[in-house]
Amino acid sequence: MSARAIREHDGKLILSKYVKSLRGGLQVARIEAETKSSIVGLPETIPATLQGSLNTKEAVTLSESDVRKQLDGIFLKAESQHPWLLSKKLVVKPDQLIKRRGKGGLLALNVTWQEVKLWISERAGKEFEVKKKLKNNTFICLFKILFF
Amino acid sequence: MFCSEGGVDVGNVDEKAVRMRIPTGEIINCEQIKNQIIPESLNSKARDSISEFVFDLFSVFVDLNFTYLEINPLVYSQDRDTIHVLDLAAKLDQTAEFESGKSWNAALKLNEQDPITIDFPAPFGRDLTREEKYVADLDAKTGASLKLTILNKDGRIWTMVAGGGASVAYRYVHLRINTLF
Repeated sequence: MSARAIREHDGKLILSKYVKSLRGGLQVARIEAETKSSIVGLPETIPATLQGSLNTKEAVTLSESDVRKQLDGIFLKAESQHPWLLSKKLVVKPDQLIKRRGKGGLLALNVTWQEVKLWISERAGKEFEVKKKLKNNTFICLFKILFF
Repeated sequence: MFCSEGGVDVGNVDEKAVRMRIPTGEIINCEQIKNQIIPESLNSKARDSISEFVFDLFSVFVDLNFTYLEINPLVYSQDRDTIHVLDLAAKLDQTAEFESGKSWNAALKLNEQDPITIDFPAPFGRDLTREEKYVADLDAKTGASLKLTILNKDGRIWTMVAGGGASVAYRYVHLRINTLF
Protein backbone atom coordinates (compact mmCIF):
# COMPACT_ATOMS: atom_id res chain seq x y z
CA MET A 1 0.00 0.00 0.00
CA SER A 2 1.42 3.36 -0.89
CA ALA A 3 -0.66 5.74 1.27
CA ARG A 4 1.78 6.47 4.08
CA ALA A 5 1.24 8.57 7.16
CA ILE A 6 3.70 11.37 7.83
CA ARG A 7 4.68 13.17 11.00
CA GLU A 8 2.57 16.09 12.20
CA HIS A 9 5.73 18.24 12.16
CA ASP A 10 6.38 17.46 8.49
CA GLY A 11 2.74 17.96 7.50
CA LYS A 12 2.71 21.37 9.16
CA LEU A 13 5.91 22.39 7.37
CA ILE A 14 4.46 21.36 4.01
CA LEU A 15 1.32 23.40 4.65
CA SER A 16 3.20 26.44 5.87
CA LYS A 17 5.33 26.47 2.72
CA TYR A 18 2.62 25.87 0.13
CA VAL A 19 -0.65 27.16 1.59
CA LYS A 20 -0.49 30.91 0.99
CA SER A 21 -3.40 31.78 3.22
CA LEU A 22 -1.74 30.43 6.38
CA ARG A 23 -0.89 33.98 7.29
CA GLY A 24 -0.92 33.11 10.98
CA GLY A 25 2.46 31.49 10.58
CA LEU A 26 3.55 28.15 11.88
CA GLN A 27 6.62 27.45 13.94
CA VAL A 28 7.63 23.86 14.60
CA ALA A 29 10.84 22.31 15.84
CA ARG A 30 11.79 18.67 15.67
CA ILE A 31 13.55 17.24 18.73
CA GLU A 32 14.91 13.82 17.98
CA ALA A 33 15.21 12.36 21.43
CA GLU A 34 16.27 8.97 20.17
CA THR A 35 18.65 7.28 22.57
CA LYS A 36 21.40 5.36 20.85
CA SER A 37 22.27 2.03 22.36
CA SER A 38 24.74 -0.70 21.60
CA ILE A 39 23.75 -4.31 21.25
CA VAL A 40 25.86 -6.87 23.06
CA GLY A 41 28.17 -8.76 20.74
CA LEU A 42 28.09 -6.33 17.83
CA PRO A 43 30.91 -3.91 17.15
CA GLU A 44 29.16 -0.69 16.11
CA THR A 45 26.52 1.38 17.76
CA ILE A 46 23.14 0.54 16.35
CA PRO A 47 20.11 2.85 16.66
CA ALA A 48 17.48 2.10 19.25
CA THR A 49 15.09 0.95 16.52
CA LEU A 50 16.96 -2.34 16.28
CA GLN A 51 16.40 -3.31 19.87
CA GLY A 52 13.44 -5.47 19.04
CA SER A 53 15.33 -7.57 16.51
CA LEU A 54 14.82 -11.32 16.61
CA ASN A 55 18.52 -11.94 16.14
CA THR A 56 19.70 -10.27 19.31
CA LYS A 57 19.29 -11.68 22.76
CA GLU A 58 19.93 -8.56 24.71
CA ALA A 59 20.02 -4.86 24.01
CA VAL A 60 22.07 -2.69 26.27
CA THR A 61 20.98 0.88 26.67
CA LEU A 62 23.06 3.80 27.76
CA SER A 63 23.36 4.82 31.39
CA GLU A 64 21.17 7.61 32.78
CA SER A 65 24.00 10.13 32.62
CA ASP A 66 24.87 9.25 29.04
CA VAL A 67 21.23 9.65 28.04
CA ARG A 68 21.25 13.01 29.81
CA LYS A 69 24.36 14.09 27.89
CA GLN A 70 22.84 13.04 24.60
CA LEU A 71 19.64 14.94 25.34
CA ASP A 72 21.59 18.04 26.36
CA GLY A 73 23.36 17.95 23.02
CA ILE A 74 20.05 17.58 21.19
CA PHE A 75 18.50 20.50 23.12
CA LEU A 76 21.47 22.79 22.39
CA LYS A 77 21.21 22.01 18.71
CA ALA A 78 17.49 22.81 18.75
CA GLU A 79 18.14 26.14 20.53
CA SER A 80 20.64 27.22 17.91
CA GLN A 81 18.42 26.21 14.99
CA HIS A 82 15.24 27.66 16.53
CA PRO A 83 15.97 30.60 18.82
CA TRP A 84 12.24 31.30 19.17
CA LEU A 85 12.05 28.25 21.47
CA LEU A 86 13.62 30.34 24.20
CA SER A 87 11.13 33.17 24.09
CA LYS A 88 7.74 31.73 23.27
CA LYS A 89 5.18 29.62 25.08
CA LEU A 90 5.32 26.12 23.61
CA VAL A 91 3.43 22.91 23.01
CA VAL A 92 5.30 19.60 23.13
CA LYS A 93 4.11 16.16 22.09
CA PRO A 94 5.53 12.96 20.57
CA ASP A 95 5.27 12.89 16.78
CA GLN A 96 5.21 9.20 15.92
CA LEU A 97 1.64 8.49 14.82
CA ILE A 98 0.18 8.05 18.27
CA LYS A 99 -3.42 9.18 18.68
CA ARG A 100 -5.15 10.65 21.72
CA ARG A 101 -1.93 12.00 23.14
CA GLY A 102 -3.76 14.50 25.32
CA LYS A 103 -5.82 11.84 27.02
CA GLY A 104 -2.74 9.64 27.35
CA GLY A 105 -0.77 12.27 29.22
CA LEU A 106 1.56 12.87 26.27
CA LEU A 107 0.88 16.53 25.71
CA ALA A 108 2.20 19.62 27.44
CA LEU A 109 0.54 22.95 26.63
CA ASN A 110 1.65 26.51 27.12
CA VAL A 111 5.01 25.65 28.66
CA THR A 112 8.41 27.32 28.65
CA TRP A 113 11.49 25.84 26.98
CA GLN A 114 12.89 24.86 30.41
CA GLU A 115 9.71 22.94 31.14
CA VAL A 116 9.82 21.34 27.70
CA LYS A 117 13.36 20.04 28.29
CA LEU A 118 12.36 18.56 31.63
CA TRP A 119 9.20 17.04 30.15
CA ILE A 120 11.11 15.37 27.30
CA SER A 121 13.88 14.15 29.63
CA GLU A 122 11.29 12.43 31.79
CA ARG A 123 9.83 10.58 28.82
CA ALA A 124 12.42 10.03 26.09
CA GLY A 125 13.38 6.40 25.52
CA LYS A 126 10.82 5.17 28.05
CA GLU A 127 8.08 2.73 27.32
CA PHE A 128 4.52 3.94 27.40
CA GLU A 129 1.27 2.08 27.16
CA VAL A 130 -1.25 3.21 24.60
CA LYS A 131 -4.68 1.68 24.41
CA LYS A 132 -5.95 1.32 20.91
CA LYS A 133 -9.67 0.98 20.46
CA LEU A 134 -10.51 -1.19 17.49
CA LYS A 135 -14.31 -1.45 17.26
CA ASN A 136 -15.16 -3.66 20.24
CA ASN A 137 -11.68 -4.77 21.14
CA THR A 138 -9.00 -2.83 22.85
CA PHE A 139 -5.42 -3.85 22.61
CA ILE A 140 -2.40 -2.35 24.22
CA CYS A 141 0.69 -1.16 22.39
CA LEU A 142 3.92 -0.61 24.16
CA PHE A 143 6.14 1.83 22.44
CA LYS A 144 9.21 3.90 23.07
CA ILE A 145 8.98 7.65 22.91
CA LEU A 146 11.44 8.63 20.23
CA PHE A 147 10.58 11.86 18.54
CA PHE A 148 8.99 15.11 19.59
CA MET B 1 -15.59 17.71 5.42
CA PHE B 2 -15.97 20.86 7.44
CA CYS B 3 -17.34 21.31 10.93
CA SER B 4 -17.64 24.47 12.98
CA GLU B 5 -17.03 22.43 16.11
CA GLY B 6 -13.62 20.96 16.75
CA GLY B 7 -11.13 19.85 19.34
CA VAL B 8 -10.56 16.68 21.32
CA ASP B 9 -14.17 16.25 22.37
CA VAL B 10 -15.75 16.92 19.02
CA GLY B 11 -17.44 13.52 19.14
CA ASN B 12 -18.88 12.01 16.00
CA VAL B 13 -17.54 14.17 13.20
CA ASP B 14 -19.34 12.07 10.60
CA GLU B 15 -22.68 13.22 11.97
CA LYS B 16 -21.78 16.85 12.56
CA ALA B 17 -19.69 17.79 9.57
CA VAL B 18 -20.82 19.06 6.19
CA ARG B 19 -19.45 17.15 3.24
CA MET B 20 -18.46 18.37 -0.17
CA ARG B 21 -17.79 15.68 -2.73
CA ILE B 22 -15.31 16.60 -5.44
CA PRO B 23 -14.92 14.05 -8.24
CA THR B 24 -11.36 13.36 -9.33
CA GLY B 25 -10.18 15.88 -11.85
CA GLU B 26 -13.02 18.33 -11.29
CA ILE B 27 -11.97 21.97 -11.04
CA ILE B 28 -13.60 23.85 -8.20
CA ASN B 29 -13.44 27.43 -7.01
CA CYS B 30 -13.45 29.29 -3.75
CA GLU B 31 -17.10 30.37 -4.07
CA GLN B 32 -18.32 26.79 -4.32
CA ILE B 33 -16.47 25.91 -1.14
CA LYS B 34 -17.87 28.92 0.65
CA ASN B 35 -21.42 28.16 -0.37
CA GLN B 36 -21.37 24.45 0.21
CA ILE B 37 -19.55 23.90 3.44
CA ILE B 38 -18.58 27.07 5.30
CA PRO B 39 -21.35 27.75 7.86
CA GLU B 40 -23.48 30.81 7.30
CA SER B 41 -23.42 31.51 11.01
CA LEU B 42 -19.93 32.96 10.56
CA ASN B 43 -19.53 36.55 9.46
CA SER B 44 -18.62 37.53 5.94
CA LYS B 45 -14.92 38.21 6.49
CA ALA B 46 -14.47 34.90 8.32
CA ARG B 47 -16.28 33.03 5.59
CA ASP B 48 -14.09 34.57 2.91
CA SER B 49 -10.82 33.88 4.73
CA ILE B 50 -11.72 30.35 5.72
CA SER B 51 -13.01 29.36 2.30
CA GLU B 52 -9.85 30.79 0.72
CA PHE B 53 -7.80 28.71 3.14
CA VAL B 54 -9.79 25.55 2.40
CA PHE B 55 -9.39 26.20 -1.33
CA ASP B 56 -5.61 26.59 -0.99
CA LEU B 57 -5.49 23.51 1.21
CA PHE B 58 -7.35 21.45 -1.37
CA SER B 59 -5.03 22.65 -4.14
CA VAL B 60 -1.99 21.59 -2.14
CA PHE B 61 -3.69 18.30 -1.29
CA VAL B 62 -4.11 17.51 -4.98
CA ASP B 63 -0.86 18.99 -6.30
CA LEU B 64 1.38 17.36 -3.71
CA ASN B 65 -0.33 13.98 -3.78
CA PHE B 66 -1.78 13.79 -0.30
CA THR B 67 -4.16 10.89 0.27
CA TYR B 68 -5.45 12.07 3.65
CA LEU B 69 -5.44 15.39 5.46
CA GLU B 70 -7.21 16.18 8.70
CA ILE B 71 -6.88 19.38 10.69
CA ASN B 72 -8.53 19.40 14.08
CA PRO B 73 -8.73 21.91 15.58
CA LEU B 74 -8.53 24.69 13.07
CA VAL B 75 -8.54 28.06 14.76
CA TYR B 76 -9.61 31.30 13.12
CA SER B 77 -8.71 34.54 14.86
CA GLN B 78 -11.37 37.13 14.08
CA ASP B 79 -9.31 40.15 15.24
CA ARG B 80 -6.22 39.35 13.27
CA ASP B 81 -7.92 37.52 10.40
CA THR B 82 -5.43 34.67 10.73
CA ILE B 83 -5.74 30.92 10.59
CA HIS B 84 -3.91 28.52 12.88
CA VAL B 85 -3.42 24.79 12.41
CA LEU B 86 -3.18 23.28 15.88
CA ASP B 87 -3.10 19.59 15.08
CA LEU B 88 -2.74 17.72 11.86
CA ALA B 89 -2.81 14.18 10.51
CA ALA B 90 -1.76 13.51 6.94
CA LYS B 91 -0.87 10.73 4.53
CA LEU B 92 1.08 11.01 1.31
CA ASP B 93 1.08 8.75 -1.74
CA GLN B 94 4.51 7.21 -1.62
CA THR B 95 4.34 6.12 -5.26
CA ALA B 96 4.12 9.83 -6.11
CA GLU B 97 7.52 10.42 -4.56
CA PHE B 98 9.10 10.63 -8.02
CA GLU B 99 7.07 13.75 -8.85
CA SER B 100 6.32 15.31 -5.45
CA GLY B 101 9.28 14.15 -3.39
CA LYS B 102 11.31 17.26 -4.17
CA SER B 103 8.44 19.48 -3.06
CA TRP B 104 7.94 17.53 0.17
CA ASN B 105 11.62 17.71 1.01
CA ALA B 106 11.84 21.38 0.07
CA ALA B 107 9.29 22.13 2.80
CA LEU B 108 11.32 20.22 5.38
CA LYS B 109 14.43 22.10 4.38
CA LEU B 110 12.87 25.29 5.81
CA ASN B 111 13.60 24.02 9.26
CA GLU B 112 16.75 22.01 8.99
CA GLN B 113 20.29 22.99 8.17
CA ASP B 114 21.22 19.58 6.84
CA PRO B 115 19.53 18.15 3.78
CA ILE B 116 16.65 15.99 4.86
CA THR B 117 14.17 13.67 3.23
CA ILE B 118 10.66 12.98 4.47
CA ASP B 119 10.20 9.77 6.39
CA PHE B 120 7.18 7.54 6.88
CA PRO B 121 7.08 6.35 10.49
CA ALA B 122 5.78 2.95 11.55
CA PRO B 123 2.11 2.96 12.59
CA PHE B 124 1.07 3.42 16.24
CA GLY B 125 4.50 4.77 17.00
CA ARG B 126 6.04 1.32 16.99
CA ASP B 127 9.74 0.76 16.39
CA LEU B 128 10.53 -1.49 13.47
CA THR B 129 12.71 -4.50 14.05
CA ARG B 130 15.65 -4.97 11.70
CA GLU B 131 13.70 -7.58 9.74
CA GLU B 132 10.61 -5.37 9.49
CA LYS B 133 12.75 -2.46 8.38
CA TYR B 134 14.36 -4.56 5.65
CA VAL B 135 10.97 -5.59 4.28
CA ALA B 136 9.70 -2.01 4.57
CA ASP B 137 12.65 -0.83 2.48
CA LEU B 138 11.81 -3.44 -0.16
CA ASP B 139 8.15 -2.36 -0.06
CA ALA B 140 9.05 1.25 -0.80
CA LYS B 141 10.84 0.26 -3.99
CA THR B 142 8.11 -1.76 -5.58
CA GLY B 143 4.51 -1.47 -6.69
CA ALA B 144 3.92 -4.83 -5.02
CA SER B 145 2.88 -4.81 -1.38
CA LEU B 146 5.44 -6.33 0.96
CA LYS B 147 4.76 -6.24 4.67
CA LEU B 148 6.23 -7.89 7.70
CA THR B 149 4.87 -7.36 11.21
CA ILE B 150 6.34 -9.21 14.17
CA LEU B 151 3.50 -9.58 16.67
CA ASN B 152 5.24 -11.96 18.99
CA LYS B 153 8.95 -12.54 18.54
CA ASP B 154 8.75 -15.78 20.51
CA GLY B 155 5.77 -17.11 18.59
CA ARG B 156 5.89 -20.07 16.25
CA ILE B 157 2.91 -19.33 14.05
CA TRP B 158 3.42 -17.32 10.90
CA THR B 159 0.41 -16.17 8.95
CA MET B 160 1.08 -15.30 5.34
CA VAL B 161 -1.67 -13.05 4.13
CA ALA B 162 -1.34 -12.94 0.40
CA GLY B 163 -3.01 -10.75 -2.15
CA GLY B 164 -2.17 -10.60 -5.80
CA GLY B 165 1.55 -10.03 -5.46
CA ALA B 166 2.78 -12.19 -2.63
CA SER B 167 0.51 -15.14 -3.44
CA VAL B 168 2.05 -15.32 -6.90
CA ALA B 169 5.53 -15.21 -5.38
CA TYR B 170 4.73 -17.98 -2.84
CA ARG B 171 3.21 -20.16 -5.53
CA TYR B 172 6.25 -19.68 -7.75
CA VAL B 173 8.67 -20.65 -4.98
CA HIS B 174 6.47 -23.59 -4.01
CA LEU B 175 6.39 -24.86 -7.60
CA ARG B 176 10.14 -24.39 -7.99
CA ILE B 177 10.84 -26.37 -4.83
CA ASN B 178 8.46 -29.11 -5.97
CA THR B 179 10.03 -29.40 -9.40
CA LEU B 180 13.52 -29.54 -7.90
CA PHE B 181 12.65 -32.48 -5.68
